[in-house]
Amino acid sequence: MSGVTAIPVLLIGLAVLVWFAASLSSVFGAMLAGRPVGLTELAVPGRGALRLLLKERSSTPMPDALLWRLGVVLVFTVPVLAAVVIPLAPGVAVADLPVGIVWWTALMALLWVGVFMVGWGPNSAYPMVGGYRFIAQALAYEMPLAIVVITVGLLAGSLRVSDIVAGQEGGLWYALWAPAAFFVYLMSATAQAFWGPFATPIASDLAGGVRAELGGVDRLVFTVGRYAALVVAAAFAVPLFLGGHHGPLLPGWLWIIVKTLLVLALLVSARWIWPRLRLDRFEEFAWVVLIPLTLVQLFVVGAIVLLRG
Amino acid sequence: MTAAVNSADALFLIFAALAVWTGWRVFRTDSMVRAAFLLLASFLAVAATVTLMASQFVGAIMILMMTGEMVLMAVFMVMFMMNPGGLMPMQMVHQQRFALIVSVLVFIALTAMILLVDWQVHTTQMPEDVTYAIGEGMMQEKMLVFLAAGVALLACMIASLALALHRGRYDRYGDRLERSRPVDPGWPG
Amino acid sequence: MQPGGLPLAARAEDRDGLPLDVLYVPLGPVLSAWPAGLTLQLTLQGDVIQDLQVDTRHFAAKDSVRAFWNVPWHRALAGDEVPVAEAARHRAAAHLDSLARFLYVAGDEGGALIAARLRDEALAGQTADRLLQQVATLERRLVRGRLLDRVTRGVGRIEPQRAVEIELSGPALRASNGGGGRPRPATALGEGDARSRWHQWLAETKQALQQAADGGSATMSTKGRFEGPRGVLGQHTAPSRALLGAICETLVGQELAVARLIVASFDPDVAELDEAGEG
Repeated sequence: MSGVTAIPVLLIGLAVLVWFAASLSSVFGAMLAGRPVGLTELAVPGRGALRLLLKERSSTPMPDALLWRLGVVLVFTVPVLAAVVIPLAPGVAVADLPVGIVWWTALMALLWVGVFMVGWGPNSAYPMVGGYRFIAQALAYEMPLAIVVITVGLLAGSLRVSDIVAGQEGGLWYALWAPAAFFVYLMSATAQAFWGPFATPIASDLAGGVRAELGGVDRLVFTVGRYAALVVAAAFAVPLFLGGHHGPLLPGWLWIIVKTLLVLALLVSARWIWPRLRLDRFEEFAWVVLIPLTLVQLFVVGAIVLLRG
Repeated sequence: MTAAVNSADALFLIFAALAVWTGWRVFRTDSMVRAAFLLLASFLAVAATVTLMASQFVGAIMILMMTGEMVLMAVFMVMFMMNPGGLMPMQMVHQQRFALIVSVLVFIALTAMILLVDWQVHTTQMPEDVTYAIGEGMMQEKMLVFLAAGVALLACMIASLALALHRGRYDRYGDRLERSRPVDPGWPG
Repeated sequence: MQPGGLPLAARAEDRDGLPLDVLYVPLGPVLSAWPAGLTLQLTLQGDVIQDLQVDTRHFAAKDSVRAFWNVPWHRALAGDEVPVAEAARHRAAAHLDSLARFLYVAGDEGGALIAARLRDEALAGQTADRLLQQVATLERRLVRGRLLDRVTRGVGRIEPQRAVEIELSGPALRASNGGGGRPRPATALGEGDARSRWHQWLAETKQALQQAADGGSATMSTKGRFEGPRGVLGQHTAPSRALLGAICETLVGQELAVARLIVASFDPDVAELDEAGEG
């Protein structure tokens, strides 16, 4: 199974993981609020989705409706398109492109366009500020993320995701070869999905930011897209850093699922642990600390690759 | 085999037409943001045609670079324009006569180049690693020169930023960089 | 020209003397984790707040109702016998309420949920010892990693001298190191910024809960100064009036990104203005 036949598997997998992430987030919230946690938390995302489906879409005076709707659609489709390079089982991916990791990075960058459009479209102050914030955030996280992706490509000597997984066969995972890169990846991936401490474009201090004027089905599609971005970021960490399908005893596809769920749970929990970062302060940290850190990691990895021959 | 070639050709033509059409629409819209994103759409269509010509790396990099550039351009245009959203009718073209002459000349030159250059058609097998082959084909042994030039450009950008900055690190951390916390306007302590 | 009935932005000189678009953006009267009924009409140039106007007319109470958080002290002012422990518990709940709002605005959703839960438990009669433990857990969470400290340090600063001049009282004054009276808890740094204010709320919550635990059956004396959760009551102006004054002073010249954080760090109560016959 590969290529076109893998598309349904990818879509169903994404849907299940989005639902899992939303339920898990709801479980964390219930635990902190002291509510009893039960299986009903599993129904929370579905209930929210139904509620949004029954609501009317919102409208504002003089919106740029085309960009607004297009932005919502982009936020939803971009993570799905980026996910085509992610291996679903040993040797199975929708498209194992020779430039897989560049494809993923490039496609996820289109999220900037989507979020900016959603902020710009409604012709309203708070969403626009939210859209601007995401661009500023992108300036902070994209450079370290790009360097991290290059580091992994350098370790494997290839840009193809299946080669990167093969490079970790029987050896150390790349998370151990390049721990700083792995750490920065998790941070940047969270920022890319504007989740948790990086939820600046949809911040509570902007009355919801780019989400402020979204209602009904638009809000649902946007929210699902945001979870999809988080899921895709978590799922991509598995082939990049955690050895993909490699692991003892269990079959490969099960290892992929287990590792993806663990990374996803880690990213989801960040929302309930940390306060939101302030961009004016994070920007400096990203450029003064993260970029040099990832560069040093890149040079160390380069030296390792040279020495190994 | 023929059918595959034909569908690839059809896709190429569709994306090429899309690139031209969105490129034209850039100048027919009132809104700065729409203009920027139409230009992005045009570049993405070009990236698709490049990818169809088996240069996936160049195509993917183009998506990444152009997305970043166009978003930043949109942000800066909104900051500098009085009427970025196109709420009032607005002329997007200026110096029309001069622009027309230049664009016609450039078009003639490019078309002449396409028609006159004796393009080599490879009948040999496509190389295993296209990305590697393109890199080697473009730079060959001048790789080091290109890399050095890239680093020099980056250094120049950082230096010009440092010169243009209103407040540098000595303003923030003190003349001997002795402060542990920077002093920033609006951020006492 | 008003395309679509919306006026285009006018221009005015900004703080550097350059012409820049002026935008009028309201904060309130209804936002999540916002003092209900308060409207701040911001005048923005870029993301800098150049001017603001306070409006509290929305939902002004028709009759003279008492602000919920001030009830025990008003009863004591009226001559009722109010147990010290009960008032202290109410004070702790009020501070936890402010803290929950502040944490929500700062993006710490988890901390906000915990603070809100503790507030409810305090009002529902959970034992003071148990509450003290849980507040200590909350405090450990908030100081962990120093992230919240970094995010709130230097935001919305009121100098000690100025705090006295604009008649701040209560925790906001003590956070500015301007208050005499009760000993200042060690955690309060008295820097007068948002960071010292949320630390002050935490410290005074613990103090109040301790008082509730020790209180026994003593009742509040019916004479002297009555300090409610937000400051001294029974004076000619409500404590929240001074908090609004502090907000007006600190917001001007700041960026929109910290506006909500500053307001939440003072947390005025509009109902308190109503009861003082203002509004």
